[in-house]
Amino acid sequence: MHSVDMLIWQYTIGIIVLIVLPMIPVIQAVWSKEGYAPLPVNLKYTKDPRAIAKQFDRYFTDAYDIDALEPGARIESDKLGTLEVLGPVFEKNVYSGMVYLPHKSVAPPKTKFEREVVARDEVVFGDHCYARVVRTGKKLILGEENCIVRWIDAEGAIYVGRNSHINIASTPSTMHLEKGVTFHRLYAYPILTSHTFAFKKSLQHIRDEHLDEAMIDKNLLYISERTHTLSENSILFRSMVTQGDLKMERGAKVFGNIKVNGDVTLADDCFVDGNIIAEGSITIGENCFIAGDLFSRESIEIGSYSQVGTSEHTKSVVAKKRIRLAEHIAIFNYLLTDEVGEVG
Amino acid sequence: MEVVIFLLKAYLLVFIAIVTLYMIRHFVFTFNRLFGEQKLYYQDIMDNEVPFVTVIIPMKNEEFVAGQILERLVSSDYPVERLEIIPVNDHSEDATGEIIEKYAAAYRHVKPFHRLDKEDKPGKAHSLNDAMEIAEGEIVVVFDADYQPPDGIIRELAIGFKDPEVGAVMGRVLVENCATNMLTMMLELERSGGYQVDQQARYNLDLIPQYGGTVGAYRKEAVLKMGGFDPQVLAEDTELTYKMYLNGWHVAYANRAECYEEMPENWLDRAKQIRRWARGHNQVMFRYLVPLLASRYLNFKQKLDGLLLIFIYMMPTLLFFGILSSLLLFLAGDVEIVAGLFFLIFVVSLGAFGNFAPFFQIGAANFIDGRTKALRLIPLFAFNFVFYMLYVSLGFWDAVKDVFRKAEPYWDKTKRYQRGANHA
Repeated sequence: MHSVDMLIWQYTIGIIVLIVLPMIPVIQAVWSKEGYAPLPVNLKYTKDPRAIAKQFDRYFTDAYDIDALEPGARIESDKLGTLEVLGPVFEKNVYSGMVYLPHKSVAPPKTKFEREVVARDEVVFGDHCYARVVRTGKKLILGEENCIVRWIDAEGAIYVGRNSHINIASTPSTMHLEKGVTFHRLYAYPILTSHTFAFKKSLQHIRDEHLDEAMIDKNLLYISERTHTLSENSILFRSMVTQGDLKMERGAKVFGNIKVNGDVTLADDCFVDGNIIAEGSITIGENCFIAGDLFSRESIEIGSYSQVGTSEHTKSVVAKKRIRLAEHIAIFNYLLTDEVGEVG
Repeated sequence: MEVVIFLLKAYLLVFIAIVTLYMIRHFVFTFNRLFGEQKLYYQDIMDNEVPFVTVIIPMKNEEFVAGQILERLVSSDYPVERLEIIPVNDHSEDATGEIIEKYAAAYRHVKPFHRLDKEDKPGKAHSLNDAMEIAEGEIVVVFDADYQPPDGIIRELAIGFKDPEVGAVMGRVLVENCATNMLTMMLELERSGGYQVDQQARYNLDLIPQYGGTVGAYRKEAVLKMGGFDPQVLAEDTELTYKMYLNGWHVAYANRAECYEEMPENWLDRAKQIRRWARGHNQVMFRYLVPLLASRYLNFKQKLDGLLLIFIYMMPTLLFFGILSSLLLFLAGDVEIVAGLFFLIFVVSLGAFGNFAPFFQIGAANFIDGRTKALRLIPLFAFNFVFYMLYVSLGFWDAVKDVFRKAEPYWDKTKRYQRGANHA
């Protein structure tokens, strides 16, 4: 073959390989417009910690006519499958379908519900019970070492026995967690660990005692030290940002927000009238009172007799990693971790 | 002649080094987004004490979209007693003013602000500055008129200010009209790369996430202390980002605070838009390069990221000279600058750098978003890249001229289509 012909042949091959072939999927995409739809954004989305339960209620009432349900009935639904309506006596140890409890019920120890349990009235689970979901219209009491795989939601108070796992739990009422309970997300008003504790610390009282508006410096206090310490019983009337760790000694008070680009440690009896935001971990000692949010990109540990938020000022405890709550603490009213939370 | 050859080679080598740096940066971002630890934004905080928020919507001849955005905003779940909405009628000559008044009559927290006096200079910066004077909110949220804010987005943006170090918060922008044609789909792919990977990675790595001027919020007091927005600068968003960091504030990125916008549906409108952005961004570069390097608030990696970010709209111009240098060296028969290796790096760098959102970054972002079929358009970005090189370079020269010009720059407004009306 002549060298010029050879060159033309090589260029033709080159154009086909480098330009035409990569363009085949392009032409196909432009032609079919497949996958062109905008990414979905729910324009009506609004944050609601009980959204799962509410959504579930809608599915449930769409699928079954619950007014007509009496103990012993079995109903089929295309959406949700078989629903078994139980009376006050639980005859089996294992229920493989969805269960509906129209009346006040007590599930004996070691009962296993492989699917959802929906109750109209108060429900009590004995020790070592298992369920995927529990949704009740009134109070819910879980015995020791229960395991709820997905979530629980109650219109009334929730009591969770020792060493239970509840994953996600929500109620507009109080939630009592005993030692050893593990969780992922909690919402209650308030969340209490062991219910013997008089949790009502008075924010207004502390503010009245210390706070004079004129004393508050609205400028941020920047601290570049590697470790900064607020000494015992000291009071700071401004928000602060530290580049390193922060330590608050016993009885220290801050009237302002705290941002720490390291770890925060509060000794016992400390008070913060603001949020604590930390890039590192947050450790709260005993009998502390945080009137703001706790937010950590690491872990959070809260000591006994401490309180976060008040009944008028509902706040959150949010950690990317572990949350560890001692006994006898109160949190108003939301708690979330990406990993695992534990009481004890 | 030898001196010229030497200079051309030196330029090419320096340029290759810079482009390679960008390539590494984007690779690090993509790797971080795919495999690194993701930084938690504050959206999970639930708190009944929320700041007073003023939403400002600058509007000039926005009758096609004014009703749509106001309808979305009045249905917000943010407490009405802690919210005011200020639509700014900036010398509109259409029905924008009447639409705003209609909403003001129906909702007490919609407080129209008409800028119709000839002495009131038009423009987004002037509108924001004037609206801030009457705004009661401690936090200002800004939306452009063609956006469709979801009900929960004001809370998602405002909650970021629980962190006293955060001066501004930026949400994520999604292209609502991406199904219209090939251009809008490509812009959505690009947007995805810019937000889902680039912004999030910069937030993860504690670098400099950018405030984007819309679907964003800032502390009013902080901005007023910094002198408000400069009408001479077309990229008031980029300027605010740098001002914030130079004054010790941080910008937080809220990836889940998503909002639809309209993008240009033809290449001419896109050309004008990209030229305007390039001009504004380079104005910021001329103004803030030295303060950035001298800042006492920024660490080394933030300065490096800030530097790479501030230079990004100058790169196409440098690239143009890079190509020119290669061509001249080729014609001079002197192209062998350690030829094999450097040529390879050059080609790879160019391919990776592409049109500001490198291909692998776009690919990863859309993979995360679950949008994979549209990725078949990626080879087209090679052509897009030439298009951007031209218009971004023009924008750069506009910014150079602005350095010597006193008058406020004139710019073309992007055409609206109101494709989202039915969606909303």
